Amino acid sequence: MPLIEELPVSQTIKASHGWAYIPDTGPIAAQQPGTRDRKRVAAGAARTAATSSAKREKATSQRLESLNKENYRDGVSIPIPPSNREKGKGRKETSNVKRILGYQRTFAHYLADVEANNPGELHYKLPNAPTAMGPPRTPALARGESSQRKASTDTNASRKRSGARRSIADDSSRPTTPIETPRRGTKRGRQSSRSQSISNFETEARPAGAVVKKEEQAVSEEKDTAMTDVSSIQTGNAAPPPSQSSPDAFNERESKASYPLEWDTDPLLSSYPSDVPSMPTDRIMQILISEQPLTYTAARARPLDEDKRPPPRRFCGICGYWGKVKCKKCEEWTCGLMECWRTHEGTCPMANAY
Amino acid sequence: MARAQRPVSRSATDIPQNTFMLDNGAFTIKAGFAPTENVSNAENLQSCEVIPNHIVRSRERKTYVAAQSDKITQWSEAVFRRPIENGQLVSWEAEKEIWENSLFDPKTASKKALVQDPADTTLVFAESPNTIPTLQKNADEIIMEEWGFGGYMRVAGPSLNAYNDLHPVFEDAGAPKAQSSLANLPMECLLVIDSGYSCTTVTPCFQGQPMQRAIRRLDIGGKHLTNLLKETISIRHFDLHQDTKIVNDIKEDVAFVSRDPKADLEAVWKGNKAKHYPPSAGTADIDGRPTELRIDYVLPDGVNLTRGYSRPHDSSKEAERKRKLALSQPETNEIVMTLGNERFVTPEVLFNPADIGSKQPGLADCVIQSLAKLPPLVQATMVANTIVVGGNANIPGFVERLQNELRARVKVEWPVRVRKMEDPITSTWLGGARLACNHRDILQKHAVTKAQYDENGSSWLARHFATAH
Repeated sequence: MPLIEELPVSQTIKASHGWAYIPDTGPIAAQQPGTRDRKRVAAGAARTAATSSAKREKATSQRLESLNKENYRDGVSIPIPPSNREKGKGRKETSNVKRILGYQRTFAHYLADVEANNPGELHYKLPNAPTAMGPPRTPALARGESSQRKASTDTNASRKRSGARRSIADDSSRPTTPIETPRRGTKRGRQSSRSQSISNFETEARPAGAVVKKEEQAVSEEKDTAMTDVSSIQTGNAAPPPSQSSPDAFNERESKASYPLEWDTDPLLSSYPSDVPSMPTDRIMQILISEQPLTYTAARARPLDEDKRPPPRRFCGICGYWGKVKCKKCEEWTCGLMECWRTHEGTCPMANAY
Repeated sequence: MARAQRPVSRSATDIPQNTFMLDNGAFTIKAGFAPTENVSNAENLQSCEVIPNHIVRSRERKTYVAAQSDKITQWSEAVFRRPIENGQLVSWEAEKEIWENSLFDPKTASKKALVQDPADTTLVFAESPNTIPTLQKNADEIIMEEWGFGGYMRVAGPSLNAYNDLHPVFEDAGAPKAQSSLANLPMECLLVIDSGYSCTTVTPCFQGQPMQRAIRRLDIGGKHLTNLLKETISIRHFDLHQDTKIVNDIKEDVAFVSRDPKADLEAVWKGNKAKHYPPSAGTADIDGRPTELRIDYVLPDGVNLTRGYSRPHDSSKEAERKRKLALSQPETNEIVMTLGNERFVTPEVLFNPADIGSKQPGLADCVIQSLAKLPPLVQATMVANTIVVGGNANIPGFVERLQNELRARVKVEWPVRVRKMEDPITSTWLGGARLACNHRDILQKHAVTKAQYDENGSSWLARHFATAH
């Protein structure tokens, strides 16, 4: 007596039958008549998914290898023709030269050497893994950055930064906080609105870059006359009289505003001229120029992430138009024209000749 | 920024005045002496000799070195040996032979490229970026010890392009001419896309120096395009697997990059004969009439015809009748094939390597990857100052298509300008020649003399070239 289970099914089950469609699960499906097609389909799908992808991958890699070939025949060697020119000026080959000339190595050897010397790098790995400190490879950058951090603690920039982070209850820092954070806010807003692919530099160099940006903010803010008084507050014990006017003026402005002042700094309102990215300092540019070159494998372009890749385009194997129809046996695409299809049938490698 | 451990005084060891610029490419070598005074580009280029960088053995079992291969008439079944594999100079045995033949032997070298006295010449040697360090060391040792150049500088090829006169290339025709002082400075921000035989490299340069962390390489170059075209033609028309040079000629003659490949593919599909699809705007006639994209290519047979040529395909009924007639007569010894979509689908691989199943990103995405390593303002400047050099820049429509693709990927406020020099193949050589002529001080700082090499050795040399100054 086969196992009969009442399974929750969305369609109404006719009470008279006493049987119901259930999803096939391999051996159970084999016992039930009438599910032969589904079993073949399920097993076949599993089979093709496993083997064809491996076969297809092998075929593609073979094709790419063949595209890289120099000659149609492998292992063809052309000996250097013996030259009958005199070795003028009695030149003797040094040992280095003799050794180098005698190398029979191919590119594959050198590539293997490179990959052996840099075991951490696979073909498609980022050369500098983003860490909190930025790229670890260049000691110059790390050094420069740490010295920058140290230097900045002595400048107004750091005081401003720490001022911003202090709680707003502190009276002396309040005027600066709303002024500073909007600027910073726009920068962050801009960062998020930028396209993902170009924002890598931001994430990687944020420690170095952000410090620089804040320094520049300090500089630009000092230039603004209204702000100089404010900045002088932060140098510690600013004399109240020169700074009295601006905080008052600011408070006045705040109370007069008919809309919340944060709206002024909404990233949607930033127009092009003020949206120009900041000029990187000479120090950063100097570091960028003087870095060591990447290794051969590290310099290769990485494949895009899975979701960002465009769908693969198929072409007809016979005429070159878009591939619309896929041969069931050999998985070759054809455009659908009768002549292309007949040609393919004639040359299909998996065809069973009857 | 490392200074040498032992302070080496430069005054006693100045490099020789006479400078020889050598751009060692995988397909051709561009070699010649740099001018001593500032001359126009056209004049400068007259001293550049383009030498094929290969050793060929023809069907008749005769071996030709470098420029001797110009004498070959029957290119079918010729076999090539190249010292540079995948952009890296691997075989010095072959390269030495080629150099001896083309640069040093008074009997076989051309006048432009003959180096009479290496000890009195400074060599500026352009290599590809990201060369394997062992190979760099080999090159340094052989160059200094075998030929004994008086001065030597090894530099990444793309950065030399910054010394070209690029303002007329980037500015529109109507713009006022820049003052002469500006024209002589190296271009401050320049993105060089070198699309050559073995690979395509994206190199952002700042003040003439490459920004190493952002250099990216795509392993698709002219070699792969030729092989792809070979495969395609061999399936559809004639088996040309053994005729690399012939297919290379076909590629250089008829391949183009389409502005709208989908429209062009519709235009050449046999199934569309009933409905007439015009080719995309870029390939249409000037007065708007759609031109026929298909061409007939006549293959050379080495006896009567030594070089193939193409002619537009005539799809009218009379031409059909004539063709059928010609087939029935065996005496017409013209081997013709009609090329349609092969013309523009082949270079598509550079923009979409997924077409052949490769996981590499397309050229535009590779540029974006490279730019992502740079500060935002530098990114914007780079994308507005992009130059394409190398053989593939000669493919019609390549530069426009790259500009369109970059425009689609980059912020709308940033201008995108992608240009090429008049002759992209000798562009790097020209930059090096101008560097040697106009910026002698930079050359003096970077180059080393034979005496310095003898004293300090090749590891010091490698460190010296690797650090910017």
